[in-house]
Amino acid sequence: MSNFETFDHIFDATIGLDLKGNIVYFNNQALIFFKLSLRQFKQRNRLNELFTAKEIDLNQWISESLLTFSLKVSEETHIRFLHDETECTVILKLIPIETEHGNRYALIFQDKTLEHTLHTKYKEQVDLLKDTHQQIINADKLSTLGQLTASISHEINNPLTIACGHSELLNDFINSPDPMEHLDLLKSTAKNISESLERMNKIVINMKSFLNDQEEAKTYCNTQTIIENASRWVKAQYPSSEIEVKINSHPNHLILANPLKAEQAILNLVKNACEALMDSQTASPRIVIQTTIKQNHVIVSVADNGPGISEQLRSELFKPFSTNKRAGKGTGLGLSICSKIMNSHKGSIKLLDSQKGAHFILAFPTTEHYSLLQSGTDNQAKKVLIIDNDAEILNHFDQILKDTQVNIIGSGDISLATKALNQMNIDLVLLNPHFSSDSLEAIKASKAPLIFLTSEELKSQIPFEGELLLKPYSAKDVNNIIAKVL
Amino acid sequence: MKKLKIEKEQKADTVFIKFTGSIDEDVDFSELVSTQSEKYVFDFDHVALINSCGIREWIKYLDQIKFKDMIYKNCPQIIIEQINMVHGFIKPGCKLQSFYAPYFCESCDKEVKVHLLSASIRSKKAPAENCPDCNEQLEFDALEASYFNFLGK
Repeated sequence: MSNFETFDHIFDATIGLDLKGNIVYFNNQALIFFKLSLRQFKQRNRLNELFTAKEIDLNQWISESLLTFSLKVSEETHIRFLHDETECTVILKLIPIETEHGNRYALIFQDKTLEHTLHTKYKEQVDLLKDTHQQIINADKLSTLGQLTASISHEINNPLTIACGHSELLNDFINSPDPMEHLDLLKSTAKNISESLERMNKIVINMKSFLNDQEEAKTYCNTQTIIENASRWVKAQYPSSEIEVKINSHPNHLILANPLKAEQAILNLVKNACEALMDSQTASPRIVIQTTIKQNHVIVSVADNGPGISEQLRSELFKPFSTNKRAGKGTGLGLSICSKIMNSHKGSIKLLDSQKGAHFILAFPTTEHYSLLQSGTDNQAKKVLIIDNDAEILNHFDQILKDTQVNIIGSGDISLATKALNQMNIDLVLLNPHFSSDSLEAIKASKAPLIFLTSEELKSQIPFEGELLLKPYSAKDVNNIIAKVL
Repeated sequence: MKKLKIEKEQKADTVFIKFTGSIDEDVDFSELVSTQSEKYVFDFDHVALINSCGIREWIKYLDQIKFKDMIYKNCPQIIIEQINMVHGFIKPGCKLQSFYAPYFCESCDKEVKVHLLSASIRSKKAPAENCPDCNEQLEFDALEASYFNFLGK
């Protein structure tokens, strides 16, 4: 049995077997692994008196090796000790050995139980961390929501005042001697009340959607509108402050984004700027928000003239819990949330070097570039470029065409649209012709079929010939004309 | 698994440290690192489990302390098995004073863990011991050469 002695010195439990499956050897590690005393181990003559394997049929597994007298290694498998019902995770190795008594096998148990336990523990801890992280994010949302409440109250107050005023008018008309005399006024008053209530409803729906995290869908948004909403927050939050908010944005700078998330990203930067300016009591406090187009991105820049960001904090700035606010003033999650939002929009956030104050930029891909980034997913679909600087129009077409075999690329800027025409194989262009005639010539030159978006009143002003799609762009008309041209 | 409880008691130039529970991946010896002394006495009597993560932490801890004398006492079988297997579990100059060894009483049909002093072991052979109940001679219930291997370290 001299050949088995080699196994006395290895750190894996090893059992020697003869060709009939009888135990003819075990090393000290086998005693430790099986948690059996020498006497107890000696009482067991076959493997099935020691343990059962869960994932493999042990007899068959060994028999396969006996036929070829070859080395065999199992997948990771669970075994259960018969004497105490405990379980271990092992990799089994069956090594053929020629001994002075004939052919034998060494069955080695590579114990993976600890790795398995650690992996399970690791997974549990990661899950716990994820839960905790989500809880903190939710807490931060509530905190943001609290701050947004001021802005929301302000927003609701306007339509509420309008609705109240008109309902009083309505009451007066109804109580007048001949209400029917004021029929037109009654109708317009009722319409105003209805519109005001609808606006309030929209605000409440947006707030619910913000809380429930169900706002992943991206739509065409005008950065100018988003910025104005965020700056309104400053006025509502700090009504008596001297902070001057200067906005320099372009009405045609559209992005494909979740409007609430994009607003949250900008609002977080504005909020930080306001708090820094208030805390530092900066003289003539000012926040400048502007948009530009640079390298296929709409750049939203938020700069203040406050104390700026310390060198120490700069490297950790976008990691969670980084803050230079006083304890209790901030969670340190605002910029990390901004970063997450920008990632989900295929964009980025950066802190620029500035001599005075903090200067952040948010880079959203232009709607055309966003479509280009997405275009790899379905090369079979027809590409339709829709050029209109009204985000609502683009969203209207998006809704109509979302379930069809057509990919739409919305564009609010004629020069970016021209660039997209040169970069992508556009099958059809739907164009609002009320851009400058030079730009329109460039579009016409692309040779892609053209459909003009216009109205009954303006159709005579179309500068050159093409198919016309008239307002209100019903789903039926849109589908028909696209089918006709494509 | 129960977290390791560490009890310390300083007497003159000796610190007595007693462990209860598991020396595993959750163990934290950092509180012991700050306890500096010339002489250490570690009592392993109530250690229920030790695994390779725990051993790694133990060796890391030993590397951080300076000592003149170090004694391991009341080492249960699981500790002896690790000492025999893992280089560095016991530092040069450290003395293993006492430990438990597995014996079996045929007449009572029961296992007995006998407390032995290292000084009483000759030539890595298990000393003759009698059953505390029937006084019959006990049978050593492990591989002698492997079990007493630590005595040569």
